[in-house]
Amino acid sequence: MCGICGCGVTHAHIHDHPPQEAHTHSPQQWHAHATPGQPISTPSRQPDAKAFQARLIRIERDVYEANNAHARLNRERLTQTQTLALNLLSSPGSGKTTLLTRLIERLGAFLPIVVIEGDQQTDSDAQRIRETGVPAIQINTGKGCHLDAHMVGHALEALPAVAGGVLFIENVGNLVCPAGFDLGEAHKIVVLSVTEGEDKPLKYPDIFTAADLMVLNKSDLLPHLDFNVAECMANALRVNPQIQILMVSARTGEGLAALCAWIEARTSPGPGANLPAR
Amino acid sequence: MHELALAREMIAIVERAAKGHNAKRIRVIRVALGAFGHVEDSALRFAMLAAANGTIAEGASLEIARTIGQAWCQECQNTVILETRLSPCPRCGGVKLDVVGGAELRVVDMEVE
Repeated sequence: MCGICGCGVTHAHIHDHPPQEAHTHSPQQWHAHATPGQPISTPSRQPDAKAFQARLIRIERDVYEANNAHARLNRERLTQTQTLALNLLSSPGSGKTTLLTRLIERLGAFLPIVVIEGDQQTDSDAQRIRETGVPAIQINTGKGCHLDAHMVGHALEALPAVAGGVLFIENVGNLVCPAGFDLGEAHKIVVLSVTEGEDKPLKYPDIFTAADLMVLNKSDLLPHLDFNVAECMANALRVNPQIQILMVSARTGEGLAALCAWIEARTSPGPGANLPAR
Repeated sequence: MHELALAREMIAIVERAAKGHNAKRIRVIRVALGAFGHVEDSALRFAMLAAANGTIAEGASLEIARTIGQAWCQECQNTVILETRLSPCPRCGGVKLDVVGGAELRVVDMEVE
């Protein structure tokens, strides 16, 4: 039973145990309210004019509201525990997990850190994080293409509180779908690697608009590529004039000090620090 | 295909409303979708067919009304209406534009029997 919403199922498969152990969560499901036996698709009733009279019912409901309600609860909880939550977004293969392990190596010595890993399948990213010594929960979304706030709420229940520390949420590798889903984070950070092309902010504007920081990763590869850094930055600023930009190489460590400083400056927050920046 | 998650939520919303009004069948669902909403019309239609299957909304038609996209132009200091996400400011031609409206996806109303 879901402690937040009272639902009987989880919307994703959460691994907080080694994969060989048994677990009771059901795989990806949703609340299907089927009504068997109801004549819903064939208008086969008697031609009674009154019975066929259509009624207009006003609804006016935001489709994101259910997610946003969970996001508000997550944000309240994170604010209470003074946890800086960062939602990492990128396409698959941008180097998010490697970047995360490097950040943990540097920040973990003086900041408590926990991690939520989102992937469609496998527990391997959470295992990579646990090898660094910090608690990590894997959410497998099954066919789902993004994390939602409900899944993150459940994962938070299984993680220790890290007062004054950082919760990294590594979203499903996808430059499209996670953009519209607030998870309760303080900031969305988009990671773009220089092997992906400088036009990505223009092609996938929603995710770059939603982010407060763009991290340009794999800078060590620049000598081998035609990637135009200035043009990429201009494209990101074109879709989001407020976005901040840092260039790093998780492999060589270049730029990581600045990224750590960016994160550290936002930790040990007072009440309200996990309110959305914009 | 996050439209599937959104379509499921839409169906959950209309089902709840239908129950409250003792409706037997939902014929039409109308939604408002912002010009900068994170949703593709055709993907939402396709996802809704799957999500409505076996529910009171099965067979319902989906009507999508597009609402305007708005941005704050940093250069001429005005709130302006943008046709596309990458359009320049229609007043001054500036490109430093902060999106301030048009990301919505809202169930407006429905027709039921």
